Amino acid sequence: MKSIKNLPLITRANAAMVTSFIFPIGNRLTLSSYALVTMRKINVIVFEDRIHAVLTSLGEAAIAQIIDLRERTERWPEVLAPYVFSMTREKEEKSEEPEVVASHELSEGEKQIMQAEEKLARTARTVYFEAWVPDEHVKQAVDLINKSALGQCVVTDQLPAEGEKAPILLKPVPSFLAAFERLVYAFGYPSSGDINPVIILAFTFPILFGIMFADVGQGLLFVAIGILLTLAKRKVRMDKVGDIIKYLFIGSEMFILLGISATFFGFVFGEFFGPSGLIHPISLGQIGPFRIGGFEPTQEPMEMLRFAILVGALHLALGLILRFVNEIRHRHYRLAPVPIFWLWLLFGGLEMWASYGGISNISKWFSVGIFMMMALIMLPLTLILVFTGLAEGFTEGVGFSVEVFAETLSHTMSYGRLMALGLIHSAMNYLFLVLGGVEHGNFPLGSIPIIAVGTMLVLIIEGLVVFVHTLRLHWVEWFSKFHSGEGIAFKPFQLTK
Amino acid sequence: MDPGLTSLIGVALAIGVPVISAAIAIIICGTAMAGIGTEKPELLSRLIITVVLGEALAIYGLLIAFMLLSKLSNITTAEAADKALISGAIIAVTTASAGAGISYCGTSLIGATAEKPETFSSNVIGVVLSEALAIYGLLIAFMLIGQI
Repeated sequence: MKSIKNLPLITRANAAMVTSFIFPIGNRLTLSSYALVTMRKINVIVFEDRIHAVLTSLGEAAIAQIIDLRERTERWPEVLAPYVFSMTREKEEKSEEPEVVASHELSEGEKQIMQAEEKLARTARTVYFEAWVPDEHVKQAVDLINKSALGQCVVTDQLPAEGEKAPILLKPVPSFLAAFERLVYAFGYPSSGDINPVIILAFTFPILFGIMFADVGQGLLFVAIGILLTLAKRKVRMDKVGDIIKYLFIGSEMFILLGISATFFGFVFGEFFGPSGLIHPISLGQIGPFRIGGFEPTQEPMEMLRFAILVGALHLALGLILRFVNEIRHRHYRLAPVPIFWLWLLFGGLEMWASYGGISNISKWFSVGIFMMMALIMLPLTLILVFTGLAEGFTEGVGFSVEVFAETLSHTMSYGRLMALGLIHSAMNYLFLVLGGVEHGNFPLGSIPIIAVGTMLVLIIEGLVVFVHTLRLHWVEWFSKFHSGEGIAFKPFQLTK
Repeated sequence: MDPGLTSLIGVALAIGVPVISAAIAIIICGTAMAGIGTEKPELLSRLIITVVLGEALAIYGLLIAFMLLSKLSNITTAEAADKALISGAIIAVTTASAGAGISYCGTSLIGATAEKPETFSSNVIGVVLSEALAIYGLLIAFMLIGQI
């Protein structure tokens, strides 16, 4: 059993009518976040007495390739940077009774082949199955089938039909991003041909987290915890620890990134274990009415709200740009302008809000700003209606543009939670600062235990809440722009040795 | 009514009702999660979002109550006291609605995910949109307190 457990990347054979197998995907791993590897479908008819040999050779070919792939993936972080620790694998324990283990493995493999065989379509003398194969390996696969069937087979290959969902082969990401990978795939795999958002999310996730968890002291604490966990991870066997500890280990590198971001925004908003007055807020500049840092959120909550909305608009804009790229990659040229008009609407609305004020000044929008509103809001909405209408029919266009209008409003407002949770974070810390008697950056000796207790509470409860809210902003507001999560992961048919 | 008492009722509303809503959401979703955990423990890490979003409701209440408490010394007129009371009422009502939404959609999400994990990404919308209701209330209550 042990040897099976030690191969985590090898998934169980998922052989329905469609089985599939894997070959290495190119010689070099790149930082490309694209999930696109063209898949081809091969149709195979084999004489019944050769099917066992065909499945065995397919399954074994997959094992050799996957182990190779995994080793290269794990070496990758060392190339990237010396301070990124790679996961070291423990040497496999030698079993005391190798014969027993060997026969167990053998029977396990036989069982998998039998199970796969059961699901194939067959006539009296022949067996038929379909398999997904990455485009560049079709020839190898066909040769392998021909060879193991001793030529007694018919193999054809074809591209997936229009609208048919091909499974996607995800390019491996560096192992220090494993936690972000899980966050994305927990929502769903990218559809075939879409951008895989893991690496982009690894930048935006810490930023949004840091804005809500802005604190120099606690951010550095996060970094320290992350470094300790990363160091400990190399010494601990992953299969011997509990569930929660395992998640902490998986997320250890993520803790470092989140901590760095929290520390950065701690300087921007002047927080050290809460608004203790030790650090003064550092201004990073000003874009129109939006001030980036340089104020204390608890003192000027409206400034913080403006900043939160600005960050939200930029985040949504990134999502829309990715949507544009996706449309181009799918060659939906008629729909491709829609995200551009949507960007126009998003920033147009922001500009209106900045220059004429919000709901309380809505009458100004219709009097002084009527022409600006037409250009910035009505025009892009009309264009969205026209373009979607031309591509997908008029009713679809009306529905979609109403949806765009409502989504732009509610999703941007939803980023108000950056302000709300940031204030909650300061308020909770402030509570313990008051209890400890901290004033103007002077920490009396007696306040340290109280602040320690408060920090523990904040790190655990507040940290979890902020984390889930960051996740939700990505899952709902951001992913709804470009990431459907409807892809099917490529689970190759393979024998677990 | 005495301005001090009115605003104190606002504080009580702001912390009391959100905590009850959070408790209801956590009780309902937590028990559902425990049930599913016996069948498919690998889904729990995703489904924990229901419980944590429920818990966040109590924190919104805490924030408003805390801000009202810090303004208590400024509240002398009946008008300011009314604003304090109403802002407490706003966060109370909106978190109660959000709590109801999270409880209903959360349990359904948990049950549906156990049966068909691929439906998670669509079904989670119900939970997070319910939770967004509380954020809208929070923003408005917040602006109201800013006027005191």
